[in-house]
Amino acid sequence: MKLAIVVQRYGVEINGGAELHARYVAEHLAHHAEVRVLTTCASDYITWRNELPAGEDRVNGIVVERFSVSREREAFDFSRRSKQVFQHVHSIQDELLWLDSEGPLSRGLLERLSAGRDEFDFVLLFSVRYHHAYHGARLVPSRAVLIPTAEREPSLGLSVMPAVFRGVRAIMYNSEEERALIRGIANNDEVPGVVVGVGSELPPEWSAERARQRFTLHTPYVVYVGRIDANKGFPELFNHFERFLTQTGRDLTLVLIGTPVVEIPAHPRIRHLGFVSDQDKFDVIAGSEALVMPSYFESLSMVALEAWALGRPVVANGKCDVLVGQCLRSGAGLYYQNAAEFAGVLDTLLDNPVMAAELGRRGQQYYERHYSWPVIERAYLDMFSRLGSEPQRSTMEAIPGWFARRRLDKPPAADVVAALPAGPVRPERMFGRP
Amino acid sequence: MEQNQQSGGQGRGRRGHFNRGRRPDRRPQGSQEPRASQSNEPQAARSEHVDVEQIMRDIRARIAHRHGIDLSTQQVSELAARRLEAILDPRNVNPSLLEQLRKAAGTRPSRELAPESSEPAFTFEDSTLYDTHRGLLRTIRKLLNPLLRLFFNPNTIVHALNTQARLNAEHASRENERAQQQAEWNALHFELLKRVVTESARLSIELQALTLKVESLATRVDFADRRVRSLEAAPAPQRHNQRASQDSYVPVATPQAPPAAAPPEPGVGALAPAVGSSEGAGTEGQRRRRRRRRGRRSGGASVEGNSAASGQFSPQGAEQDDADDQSDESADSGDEQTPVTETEAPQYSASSARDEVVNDAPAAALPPEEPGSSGSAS
Repeated sequence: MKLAIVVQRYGVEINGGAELHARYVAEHLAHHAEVRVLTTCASDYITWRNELPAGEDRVNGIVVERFSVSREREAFDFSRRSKQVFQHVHSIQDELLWLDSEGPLSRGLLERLSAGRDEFDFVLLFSVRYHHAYHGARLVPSRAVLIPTAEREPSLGLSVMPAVFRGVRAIMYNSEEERALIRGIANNDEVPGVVVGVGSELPPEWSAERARQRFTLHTPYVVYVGRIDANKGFPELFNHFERFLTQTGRDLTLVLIGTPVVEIPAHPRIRHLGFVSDQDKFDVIAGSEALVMPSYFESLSMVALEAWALGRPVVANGKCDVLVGQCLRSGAGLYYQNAAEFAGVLDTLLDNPVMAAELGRRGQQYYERHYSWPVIERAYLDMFSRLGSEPQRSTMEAIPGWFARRRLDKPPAADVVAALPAGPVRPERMFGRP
Repeated sequence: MEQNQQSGGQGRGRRGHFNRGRRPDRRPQGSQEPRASQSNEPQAARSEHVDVEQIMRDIRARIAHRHGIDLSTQQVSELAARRLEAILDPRNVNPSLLEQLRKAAGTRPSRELAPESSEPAFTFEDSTLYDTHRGLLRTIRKLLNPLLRLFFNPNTIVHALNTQARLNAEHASRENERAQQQAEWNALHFELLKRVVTESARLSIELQALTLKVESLATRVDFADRRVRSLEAAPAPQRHNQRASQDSYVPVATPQAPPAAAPPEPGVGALAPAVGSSEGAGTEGQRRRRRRRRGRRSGGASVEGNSAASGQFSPQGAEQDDADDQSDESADSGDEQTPVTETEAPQYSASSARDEVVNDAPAAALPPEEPGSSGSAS
């Protein structure tokens, strides 16, 4: 079996969620099939500037073909077009131009995909909101296996998206919430789909004591790992944490790991460790009271899964359906919607170590049952085997003609998404596996 | 933490009302331990299956309990909406403006609000002056154009009109943009106003709850002050004398004891012979009854001390108490010699009940006693 993995960026040093997801999947499926990665020369997701050399490369034993980006992203143009399609009545042509503006627009990549459509048994396309995945799926619909990594964001409400969700061969969802969202928008029940997610590369051993010694973490702490950004709910977390400390006077530290985009308040109980190695990251998580995940939008939080894999409970933002759903289904995390609940959740975890340990234990079970690599690999292989034996039941709808494309009749995408049903998928309402 | 506060606070509060005169340590230990364990862990965590939703319900209930309000976010929003209606009184604010603000807050401002008119009303080029739909006429004008230019320069007019057309277009575009910005600002202002009102509504509810809590705490502080004052004002020797006068009845029951006129020995030393005598004569049940009666008497004595300290002591009352004591003690001594009959018990109960009625008012005003403090007198 020969597989192509198409993703916007690829490399060991690239740590974006979808990109890491793609790399893990490529490296694990390489045990079962011949895998080739098709990607761009970009390493910056804001500009898509060509920074890596075009041509063939090898990353951890996987063959990677890089294609140069035809046009870098222009921030002003992208912002203007985003406003147009997300907030105003617009046309299909506006949406297609928005996709071009968002990028990464790589004609070489699409030509390679088109030319080698019979070379691969299946083409795994990551992140539907990007140009390469949308147009790649339209080029090879009969072999396209989409990993949408879709969040509850306005781009999902574009009128060109449902056709792709209905036209691909299969969809590998990250969570039940993502599947419910996409089914709500595209009504694509006939397309084979399964909730898979992604595992993590856990080190062979981890030590909380080592983290305490190395980073002088001698008091109890909660930890966040990831980009420290406003989009990740950060000013709110700082505010909640400072209020918690003021109200309770507890001896708890907030430890942050990752690149800061927003300013971190100078507070003696907020420690920023910067960018640390994977081993250190796992050590720090293992020594924490809980992992805090303040993000509003996630299609799957890999860090949360890692915390569960290490037996630590998770404190999630209650406004993120995916995280709340995972907390409910795993029985391994609590969530907050305001400062009072944040304080209540932390108080509960700190006052009831037995309960916290039980939550962590359930998280570990949840991870092993659903997100360990043998389970993930099996889900992919089963899907490929099913697709090999079943004929394709749906076809990719064509893009409308010249006049129809320019008709101003598409509603604002943000309104479309806002009208979709929301909320976590509870265990009793699950379609298949969690 | 929260549970500890609850168990401590509520326990003391209850003792003040229901457990007066009882020893809390008489309760079976087994009945307290499960309660403690229940309160230390959320309900959902006790079971084998950890129910995250139940834990969250517990947390929210505790938050509501702590804030003293049990209103959901939805209810607070409704309350805020009513307040907002009151603030935006249609008599003072233009109703159409109000409606526009509401609509703008509910929907994103779109370009439909301010239709774009950036297209110039006309275009004025070099050939516009001579333009016509008749081809022949256009040709004639073109031919005669040099002749016309002999009389005046039309280029200036063309240039001026062209500039004016461009300025008109720019002005219209600016106006359009300004109108849209204004609409966005209006929406933002209305949204902010709504949020401020919601927040103030929530805060006022919290303030009410906190005011009630402060009042309750102030009352408790007042009770505690009164109790401290009364205890400080009570003269200690009087207590000893009273206790001695009670204990002086002991020799009556025992022939070996010194006469009643002899100075009484205060404290346990005085009590010891009586206990010793009762040990010889009575059963365990009789001893318990006697202790109970003495406990009641000692409670009365302390209150008398209070009333004496506040200048309300009456000799009649003291004589009456003494008489009661004597009758009680004679009954008590009778207990030691003969078993208590059913007819004697009500008489004793009546007098002790009267003592309780006398003691009730000040005792109710007192803060709860520490466990075991009432038992030390006997």
